[in-house]
Amino acid sequence: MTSRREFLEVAALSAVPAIAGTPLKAAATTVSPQASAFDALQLLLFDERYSQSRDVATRMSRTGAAVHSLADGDVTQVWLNRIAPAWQRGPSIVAGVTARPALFCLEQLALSSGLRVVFHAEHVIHADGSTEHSLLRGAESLDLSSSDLNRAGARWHARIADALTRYRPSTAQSRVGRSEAALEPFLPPRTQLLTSWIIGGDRS
Amino acid sequence: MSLPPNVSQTAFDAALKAWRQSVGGEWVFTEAADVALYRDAYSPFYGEPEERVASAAVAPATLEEVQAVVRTANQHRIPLYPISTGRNLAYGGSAPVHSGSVVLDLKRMNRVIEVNERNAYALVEPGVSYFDLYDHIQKAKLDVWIDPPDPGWGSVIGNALDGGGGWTAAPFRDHFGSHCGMEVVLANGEVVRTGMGALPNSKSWQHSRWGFGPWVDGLFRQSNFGVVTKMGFHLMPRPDALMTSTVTSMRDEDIVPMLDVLNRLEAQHLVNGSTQIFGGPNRPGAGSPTWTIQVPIYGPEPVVRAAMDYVKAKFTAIPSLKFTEGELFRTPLSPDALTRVRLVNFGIPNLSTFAMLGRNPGNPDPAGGHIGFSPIVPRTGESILEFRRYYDEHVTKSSVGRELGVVGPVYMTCWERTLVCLIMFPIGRDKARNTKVRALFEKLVRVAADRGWAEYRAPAAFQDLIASTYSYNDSSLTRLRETLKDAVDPNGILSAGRYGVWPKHLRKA
Repeated sequence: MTSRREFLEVAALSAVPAIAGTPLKAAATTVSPQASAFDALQLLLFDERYSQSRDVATRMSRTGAAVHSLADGDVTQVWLNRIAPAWQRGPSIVAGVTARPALFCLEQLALSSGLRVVFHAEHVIHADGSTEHSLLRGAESLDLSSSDLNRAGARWHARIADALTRYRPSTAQSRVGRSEAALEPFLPPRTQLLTSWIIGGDRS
Repeated sequence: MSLPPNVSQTAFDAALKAWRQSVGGEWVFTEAADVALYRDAYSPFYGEPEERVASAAVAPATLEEVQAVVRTANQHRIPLYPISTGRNLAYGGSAPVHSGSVVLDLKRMNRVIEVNERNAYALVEPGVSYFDLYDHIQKAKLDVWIDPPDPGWGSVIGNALDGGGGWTAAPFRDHFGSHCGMEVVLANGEVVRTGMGALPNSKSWQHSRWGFGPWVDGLFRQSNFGVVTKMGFHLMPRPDALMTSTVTSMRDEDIVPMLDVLNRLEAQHLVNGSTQIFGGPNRPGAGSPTWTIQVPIYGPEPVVRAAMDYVKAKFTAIPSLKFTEGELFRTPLSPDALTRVRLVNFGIPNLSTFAMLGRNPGNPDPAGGHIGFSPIVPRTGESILEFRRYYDEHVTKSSVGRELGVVGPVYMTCWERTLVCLIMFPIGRDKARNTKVRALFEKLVRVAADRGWAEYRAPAAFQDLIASTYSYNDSSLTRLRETLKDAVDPNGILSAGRYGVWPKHLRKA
């Protein structure tokens, strides 16, 4: 039976089909022997069209994270086959370094499972390769700041990988609403936008 | 907690108390953080004072609970705004048209009541999404298809009532047109079943849609005359095959005979898939065809091949057209084929449209969050050429070097004999830019109406404007609708303002 909270945070999709699936870690694309280091994080999604995203996945898989590639940014299959079954069993944490729509879709789906976006950062990649960072939610829980990312320069994604690796769910998770993932910031032509994010939080 | 408009605290408290008794306290939502989840994610007024928002929400799980909620609202004159799953993105989402209304959230009514393989129909409740219905059919191993829109996470009933369309064969991709029978709760709480469903113990509710006497189902499409709690749909028996060929031309003027041939083939029910037309100002580059039409045919393989031969003969009778025969896909699709096709053409719901419309290396200037400007124009090549001139004159120029990032036009043939020239207006976090988008949208509505075109569907913010363009004979259609509204919902509690129909007490002079 769906709880009030799960339903509410819906606005969403009743649409989680009960498709049998494997636990996220067991189904991981890459699982290292040090997997116990990643009890908090169940799955990292990365968008293989972006080198920065691929780099985060490589770094995190080395340390035991389960990672899953989005070839074209579409989350349908990973949601149907892996995330939805996991979220039907209980809350589990999913992170990503993806284009914005992947986060938008998964946030909508997460709300119906009583989960929220607990960390959200945007990385605007300009045509000259420079990157601007906006930390929109939850950076403090990852001990992350814009100046950290700026200092890291072109290797900002290594800092993101490090921060995601260290994330642990808070026992005192404050209740938050929807993130800003539905809409884009105004961007100059020919810029790219990557998002780093974590969906998690306890059922309340 | 905010109050609905024109409702006293005493009346609202009484209604909330009654609703809590009817549906359970846990299903009545009044806290701001909860109610905010019903905001329209793509509101053109996102974050501005004019954004339409709910005051509360109530979520019944059964027909009887819906009746109780509606009766209470009617007693206390509380405006309700029913939603199914609230996924009508680009055309309003889950936010009410009349700001401050209480959202009547029907997501908990999520039963697939019946899927009949033998006669190919389904009967569902409003909370059933395309994913849900697909999953039900797959698990039961039934040999029927659904027709999902892009994306597939919305309500089957909600999409039909909003006028949505899909991507498989006609007539199934006309979602309202393929429905068969409804159950509706009226504003006084009374339940009506339409068509054959009005017969007690009817055996043919989903077999025949017309029933006996005046047919009223259309009154509940894009409307505010009742709350639809069940709806039947005719499903497509799984076709053996789909083959999609392509017709191209390098000559601008060829769109006229191309569309004439296509229209005739479609009216003959030889081309039954959702044709797509690409070209005009979107042409991808030098050497690319000026016009491309995709021609899909569903059916048994020998029939598909024979029909495609006939189709080829008709198109290639025009010497400047090039016909390229496409791959024939047999169903069920092989794992390999599944990776190469557009899934919605095979009745498989998915969310890929978000990735496709989002910013990525191959799409550096996307529409992203957007609202749809969707005028219906005559399905002729001349109209497409005229629409392109209209686009060039009013959109390209007004968007000043694509400052607004408007995307279009996209020529859609969701329904037989119909052409929708869709333009997507990006909505983002930049309020100043959203203001310009709204101004351009409103201008386009007026200029299109001057040319005899009007939208079939629109976000809440523009529904009054668009309804006002349907003004033949001193807006006699609007007056008829208002007469009906006053008769079936005299207190005006249901979806005030939806598609431009306001109850008497909120009507502007």
